Amino acid sequence: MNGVRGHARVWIASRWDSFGLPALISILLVTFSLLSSTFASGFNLLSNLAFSSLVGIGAIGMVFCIMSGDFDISVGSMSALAGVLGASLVGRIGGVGAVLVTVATATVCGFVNGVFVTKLKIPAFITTLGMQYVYRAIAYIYTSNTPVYIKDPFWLFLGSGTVLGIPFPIIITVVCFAAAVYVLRKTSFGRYVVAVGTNKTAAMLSGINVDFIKNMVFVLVGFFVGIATVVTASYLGSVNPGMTGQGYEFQVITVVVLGGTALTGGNGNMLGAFFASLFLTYLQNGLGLKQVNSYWQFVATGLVLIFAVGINRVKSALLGQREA
Amino acid sequence: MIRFLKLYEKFGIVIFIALGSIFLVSVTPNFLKLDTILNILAQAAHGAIVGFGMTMALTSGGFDLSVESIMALSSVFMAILIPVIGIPMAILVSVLIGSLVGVLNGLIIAKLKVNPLITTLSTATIIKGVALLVAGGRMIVIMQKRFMAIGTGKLLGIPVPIYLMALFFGLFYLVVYRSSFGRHVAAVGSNESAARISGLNVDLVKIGVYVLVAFTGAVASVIRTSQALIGMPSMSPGFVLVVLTITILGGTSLAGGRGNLWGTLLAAIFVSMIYYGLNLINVQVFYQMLAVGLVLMLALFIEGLRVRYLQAAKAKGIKV
Amino acid sequence: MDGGVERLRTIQLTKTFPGVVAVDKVDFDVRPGEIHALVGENGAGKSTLIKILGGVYPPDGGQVVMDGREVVFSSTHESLASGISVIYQEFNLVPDLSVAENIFIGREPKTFGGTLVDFRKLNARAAEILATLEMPLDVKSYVSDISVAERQMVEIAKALSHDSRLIIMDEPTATLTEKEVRKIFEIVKNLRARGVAIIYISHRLEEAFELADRISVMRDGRKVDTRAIASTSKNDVIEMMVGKVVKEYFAEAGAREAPRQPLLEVRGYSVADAVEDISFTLHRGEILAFAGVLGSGVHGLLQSLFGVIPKKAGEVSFEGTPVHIDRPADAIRLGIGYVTEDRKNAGLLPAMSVLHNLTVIIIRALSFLRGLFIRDAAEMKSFAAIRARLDIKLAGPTQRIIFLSGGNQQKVLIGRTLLTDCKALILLEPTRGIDIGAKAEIHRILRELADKGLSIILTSSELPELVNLPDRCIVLYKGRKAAEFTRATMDSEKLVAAQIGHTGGARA
Repeated sequence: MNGVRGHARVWIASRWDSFGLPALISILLVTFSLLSSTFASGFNLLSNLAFSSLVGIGAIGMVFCIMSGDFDISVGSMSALAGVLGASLVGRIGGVGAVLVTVATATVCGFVNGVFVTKLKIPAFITTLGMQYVYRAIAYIYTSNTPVYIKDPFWLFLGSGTVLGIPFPIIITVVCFAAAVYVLRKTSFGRYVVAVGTNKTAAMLSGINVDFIKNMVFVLVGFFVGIATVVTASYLGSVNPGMTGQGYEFQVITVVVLGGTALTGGNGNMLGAFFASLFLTYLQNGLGLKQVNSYWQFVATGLVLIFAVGINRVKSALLGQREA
Repeated sequence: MIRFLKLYEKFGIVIFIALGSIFLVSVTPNFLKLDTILNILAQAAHGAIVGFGMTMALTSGGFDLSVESIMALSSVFMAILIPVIGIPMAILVSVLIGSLVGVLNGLIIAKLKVNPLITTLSTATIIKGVALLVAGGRMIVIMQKRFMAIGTGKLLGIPVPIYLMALFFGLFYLVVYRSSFGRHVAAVGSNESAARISGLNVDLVKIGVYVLVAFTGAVASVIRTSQALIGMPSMSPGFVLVVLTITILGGTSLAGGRGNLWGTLLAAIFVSMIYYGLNLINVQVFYQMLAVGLVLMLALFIEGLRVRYLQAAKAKGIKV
Repeated sequence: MDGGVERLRTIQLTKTFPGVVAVDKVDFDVRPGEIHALVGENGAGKSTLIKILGGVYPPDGGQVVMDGREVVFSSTHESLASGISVIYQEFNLVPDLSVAENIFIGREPKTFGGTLVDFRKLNARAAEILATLEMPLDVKSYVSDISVAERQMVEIAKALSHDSRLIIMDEPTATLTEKEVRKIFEIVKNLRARGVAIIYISHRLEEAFELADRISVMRDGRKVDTRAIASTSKNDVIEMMVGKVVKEYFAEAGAREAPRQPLLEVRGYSVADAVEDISFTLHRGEILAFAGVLGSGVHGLLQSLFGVIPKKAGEVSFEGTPVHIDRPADAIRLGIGYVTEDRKNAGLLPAMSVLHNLTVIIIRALSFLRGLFIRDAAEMKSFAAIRARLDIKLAGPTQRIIFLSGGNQQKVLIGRTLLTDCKALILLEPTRGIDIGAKAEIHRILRELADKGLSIILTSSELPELVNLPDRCIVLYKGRKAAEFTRATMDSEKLVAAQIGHTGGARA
């Protein structure tokens, strides 16, 4: 590729991962702030920052999943099931116990998904598609299709409390992402996930237990979905077997792809997912405040995913990399 | 054992039908009455029709998760257009619009080479939004009662949907097993590179497949919309799972190349039997949802074990 | 200049790839109604030649003439349209379609306004073709249900259905049983009788001598000679294949002490579709090579020893104790390393840097708490040590491995195994796709490692490597031991002969 335009493109491509998303977000923030004064208010910006934890934390597990070469579209239902299970037990085992149950339930769901994929060798998409309905059906049955409200102070604090003026969800999000980045960069597990995602056979020949890694990845998906559910349930004040987690899987996958993680497996962009979760949350918030018909949001979110795939492809092509 | 496992792929669904029959016989004495059977068959129609389309999608090595949204879109358009251009034209236009979504899916999957999961998941979301937008978020009542005839009418005592199911089965049978297009679809799903080298236009085949799936979705939507007489922008949530369950239970391989149309038909009837029976014993809707999900997981479980057994046998040198 | 028009003639045909001349000014011709055998060692240029004729590669120089007229094709379809069919080793068949459908794929006779396939005509025409070749096949059976030999027949029928006047067959009998080979021979002779020109590539000289009218030998991209079968012998052909240059490639290895202490003992080892009842012993510090052509089972044997594929029967002892290796991790734990022959698809981790590619295998040992905290310094140290030891050329540790040259990539893969302090190393095609200079380097490295006590099992399809590198060489043919050579008894012609089944007098 010659010439100034060519060089400019390659330059942008190489910097995209670090600066592209933040740039996009800045543009988004500025645009919407100009269009709506409500959007620009500190309260709005801060509370959406907190709300982004829902998609953000959930995306952490999904980053691992997509890196290893699989997908999990049952995360929404996992969230619903874990949420109702935990919330309904508050009376009996207290807030702390309930929170733990929520996270544990989601983690177990992830484990079940993993077993189907690794031991029975069933493609992840159909496994998680089937389990998506199983989990949600169980949630419906268990609550007789009624929402469960969260009144426990501990749990509520997790979502709405502040520490030194910073909403707690933000703290949890930062902690989770920090931990995830650490695992990715500084643990052998992180390396193994990349290896499995980029070349399963080579990973196996290097002695990596591919089945175990894949199983663990699904467990991680469940685990982080559990945490995200806890935070959001607290924030919203209730869990609803029908509403909680609807469309969640789509948003999470969009965030992961927009964040720069390649769909074909291999390297993952954890920080990118964080920024992408901010982008998506603010986008939806901005559209909502401008009274844009909420149905346009569906269209917009769908387009964002296609757009994100496109960007990843172009970037890879420009940098001469093999994946897209 | 090996012979049994190999035959299972083609005929396993018969076992399920037998089990389903036993279940129903135990639940109701009316099972073997003509009315009941016709009822069950009629209810199986829309699942079967979309199932035929999904069978082709799986045969080509892909799948389509956006059928639900396509159905919703067609439903909405029908409700809006019937008062404007009359029933037959409205049906035509709605089916056309639904099929166009298939073109979109096909183009993205074939030309842009995005994987079917991401593609159809995206279009599902986008089209869902479009359907809601067009409908203004509400369900649209259809005033023309004559429209009900399609979904609930009877001809010679047999419900119309059964005729439609038979018609589409016949059509798809011809397409899948007898048309060059259908054989090319199987070729693409079985060995895409060989198909390409042999000169097949793989892209066109894939686009055609997704158009067909969308088409079946739109047709099933006609039946459903006519039964409810309401244009529903959020029609049949969970339907895509039911369709995939039907297709996989029927023996169509996820790997591609081997579409089992008879299996899909029988599986659709089986699922309808289950729904019927569960309704009779007053099982809640959510338990039904659970049931379908578990049936799918069971079918996948069996398939997983089957494949592993056959692979292990091969490694031992046994002729498979 | 012969009288009469040949079916095919290549004039000074040339094809170069970066660093190597694959086909070097080859003059070659085939006559109508002739079976022309094409033989040569791996890397001689045969597959490149047929890929040019098949339209896969455009030639860099020279001409191709069909029936007296020059043809130029830039695609496989054009080659097919010119009357040439190539039957590659990996068939291009669709398993879930019937035999008849595969033969006429894309050209099915239609009915009903061109939408439906006229199965009656399709099956009839397919049956016709099969009948003319006396192939006992049911046209309605699915390709996934028929044997390899029968698939071969389908490919031949496919070629005929295109009215191909030249059919090129690449190793058609490599994986067939005796009976099946006979059947294929009948069919090929039948083809000849109908005036089709046939280029028959095979490693099995006895087949070439039974079937062919003429035989051409290629070596190092050039055609050595073309002779009538009647006026040459197998030994002559082997001599032409091997040439006298073999020993000039690499420096003569100094005399090596015969290793004595056994490290790995294998008894009665069988692998499905690969080897039957193989036994051997690997000694400490020994370089043992396994040689064999396609269908000999060498790759299956070595893969199974490392746990990549399961075994059917047999016992393995490592350092005196019986062991069970069911997966690569087991082997690595015992101290066995492995370098795959398929660098690109099974060896490299393409999304990762060179550093990570190297250290992934011992990353736990390089961290605190067995993997919870990677010590960057330790990782770098390992990297630097291997880089220096193997002299790997690269821009920096964080460079992505896909940007390295083939030779350096291979060094990384070898380096990876060295990091595990393994006692035995299995290498499949250690220098495939690597230029001469890097080849010599890798050989030097392997010899040094063996001198220091590492035991090496390798397999190669490159004759110089087999002749010069190992202390011992076991030849497999059709899944069983055919011959064994030591440094003293090594004879390149006998080696080649054993590989291709011509074992007159070479049994060790």
